[in-house]
Amino acid sequence: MLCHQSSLRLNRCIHASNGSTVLFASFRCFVSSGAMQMQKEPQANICQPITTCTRTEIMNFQNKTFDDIRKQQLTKLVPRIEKIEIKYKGRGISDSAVMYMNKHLSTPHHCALHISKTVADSAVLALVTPNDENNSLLQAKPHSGKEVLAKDDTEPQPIPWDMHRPLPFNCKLEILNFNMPQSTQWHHDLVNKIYWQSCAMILGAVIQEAFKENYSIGLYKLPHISVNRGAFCYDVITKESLRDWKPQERDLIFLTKIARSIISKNLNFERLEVDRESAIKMFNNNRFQLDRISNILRDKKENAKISLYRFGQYIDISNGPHISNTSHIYHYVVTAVHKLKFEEDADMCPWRIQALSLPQNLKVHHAVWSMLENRARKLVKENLPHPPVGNDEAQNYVISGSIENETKEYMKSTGQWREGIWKKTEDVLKPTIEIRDIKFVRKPHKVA
Amino acid sequence: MPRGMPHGNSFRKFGGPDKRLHLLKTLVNALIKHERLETTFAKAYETQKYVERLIDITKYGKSNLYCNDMVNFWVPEEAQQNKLFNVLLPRYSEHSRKYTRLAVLTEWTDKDMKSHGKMAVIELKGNPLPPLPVKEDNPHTLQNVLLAAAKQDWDYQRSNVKEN
Repeated sequence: MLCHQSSLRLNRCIHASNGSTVLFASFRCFVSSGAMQMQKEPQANICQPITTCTRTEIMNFQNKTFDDIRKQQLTKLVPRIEKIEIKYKGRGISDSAVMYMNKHLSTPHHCALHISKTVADSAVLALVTPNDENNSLLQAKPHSGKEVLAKDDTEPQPIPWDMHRPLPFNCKLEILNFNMPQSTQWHHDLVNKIYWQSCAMILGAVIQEAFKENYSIGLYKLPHISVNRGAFCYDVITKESLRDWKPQERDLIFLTKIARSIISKNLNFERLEVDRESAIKMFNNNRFQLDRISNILRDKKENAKISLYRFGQYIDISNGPHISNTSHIYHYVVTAVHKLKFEEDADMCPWRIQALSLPQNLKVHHAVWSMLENRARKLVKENLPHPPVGNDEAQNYVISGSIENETKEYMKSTGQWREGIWKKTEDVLKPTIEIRDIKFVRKPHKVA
Repeated sequence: MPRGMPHGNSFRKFGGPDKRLHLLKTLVNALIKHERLETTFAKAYETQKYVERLIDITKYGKSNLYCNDMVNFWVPEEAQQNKLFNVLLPRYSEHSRKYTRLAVLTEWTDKDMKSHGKMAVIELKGNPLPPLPVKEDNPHTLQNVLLAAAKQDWDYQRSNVKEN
C-alpha cells in the first residue's frame, strides 16, 4: 500500500487496514508520497559521510566523549582531596557563613545545600570573588587617565559562576535569584541575560528533537540577544527539502510541546572545558558548529579551551554561565519561525526560530502573557546573520490568541486551565510543505 | 448583593452628598499642603481617586475654563492652588497615571482601641519626606523589563501612526 511506503507517521485515529477510513488515509498518502519522491535522490546531507550518521548515534558518541574527558580531568586535578575556604555572604547578617569545602569537587550548589534546601532550589547563579592571596592588584599600576574609583583598584571583580561548576580556589560566594529586592540593577541584568541564553540553548535541543532525519537540519548560530527585544532566537540552516516550508500555528504548538517534554525532565546544566581537538572530534558532523569553534578560538593560543554545556543528552558550545536547572522555567513558547536569505548558496535556507519564556518565580497572568507573545512574533533584528525574506506582515499566521493556551490542560468541571500541567509530546513534527507537481490536483499549482 | 456594594465595590456615603464633598475637599487640600496624610482607609481610598483626577485635569493648563473651575472648587486656598501649578505639575509632567501611594497600617489589636478602625497613609509620590517602608515592584526583574520594553514599542508605534 502507498501508506507503507511513506515513512511519515499517520494520525492515531486512522487505521489503514480499516476500509471505512481509507479515503482520508489515501489523501494523506498521496501528499506524503509526493514528499518522499522528492527525497529519494541521494542528497549530500549536512552530515559528513561518516558511516553511522543517525542522530541517536551521534548523540551517544558526543555524550561518551564528554564523560570520558570529564573523568580524565578529575583524575588529573584531584589525586588527593584538598580543602578551600569559602565565605558565603547571605541575605542578612545571620545568614553569612564560612565553609571549608573540597577543592575541584564542591560546587556552589553544595554550599547552598549546607544552608537550606530553599536557598539551593531557588538559586540561579553564583557570584565568586577569588581571594587575592598574592596581592597582585595592590601593586602600583601606571595611571591610565581614567577616573579612579577606590573599589576598582583594591578588590578583585566578582565572576559569574554556574551553580554546578566546581570551585578551584578560596573565595567569597554570593547567590543570585530572579527577584532580589535588595540588589542592584547590575545583578538583575546578569541573571536576565543568562536566563535568555540558556533558554536559547534549549531551543537548539528542541529543533534537534523535532524533525525527522530526512529533513537535515543543522544548528547554525546561537546569537546573543538583549532582553529588551522580547524574544530569544536560534539560527538554523536547512537544505532544499524544507525550502518551501510555511510554518503554521500547529507547527509552533508542536514545537512548544516538544520543549515541554525536554524541560519537564528537570535537567542540570553541566559545564566542561575542552581543548580544540576533542571539540572538533565531537562536532565533526556539523560544519557550522566547526565554524563556530574556529571563530571562538581564532585569536587565542594553541592550548586555549572551549566551554561546552550539557543538559540531558544535548551538548552545545557556549561561553558564558547558564542557569542551574531547567526546573526554573515556567512559561516556554516557540513564537515564530522566520525565513532568511542566503545569498551565496541557493541550496541552503537559513531560518530564525524565536521563542519566549519566563521563570517560575515571575509567573504572569495569561492575558499579559498573550500580549508579550504577540510582540515576540515579530522578527528580532539583532545579530541577524542574513537578511530576511518577505515582510513582517506575512507572518501573521497565528489564529488563536496565544499559543500557550493551546498547550494547557483545560478542566471542564471548573472551567479553568490547570496550573502547572502542560501537554507534551514525543512525536515528530510533520512540517506543512507546499508540494509542486501533484497530479491529482485539478488546478495548476502556482509556484511563487 | 446588598445596596451600596454593586460588583463588590463599596459606595460610601460619608454622611450625605454635601458633607461628603466638603470632607473630600478638605482632604484633597490637606494632601496637597502636607503631601502625606494618615486617615481611615475609606477616606484615603476616596481622596486618592479625586487627587489623581485633579492632577490629570491640571495638565490641560491654567487657561482652560474647565480646569479653572475644577481647581477653584477642589482647592479653595490660594497657596495650595499655586503649589499645584508650580510644584506638582512639573513633578508629574512625565508620570502617566499613578501619582499617589496608599499604604495600609496594621489594625489595633487592643479591644479598647477597636473603635479606630482600619487606618491608612496616602502620600504623593516624589515627596521630600523620608520614605515609607512599602514594598514596590522591582523594575529590574525579567517580566517587568519585558513589559517596559513592550510598552515602549507600542508607544513608538502609536506615535508613528499619529504622525502618518
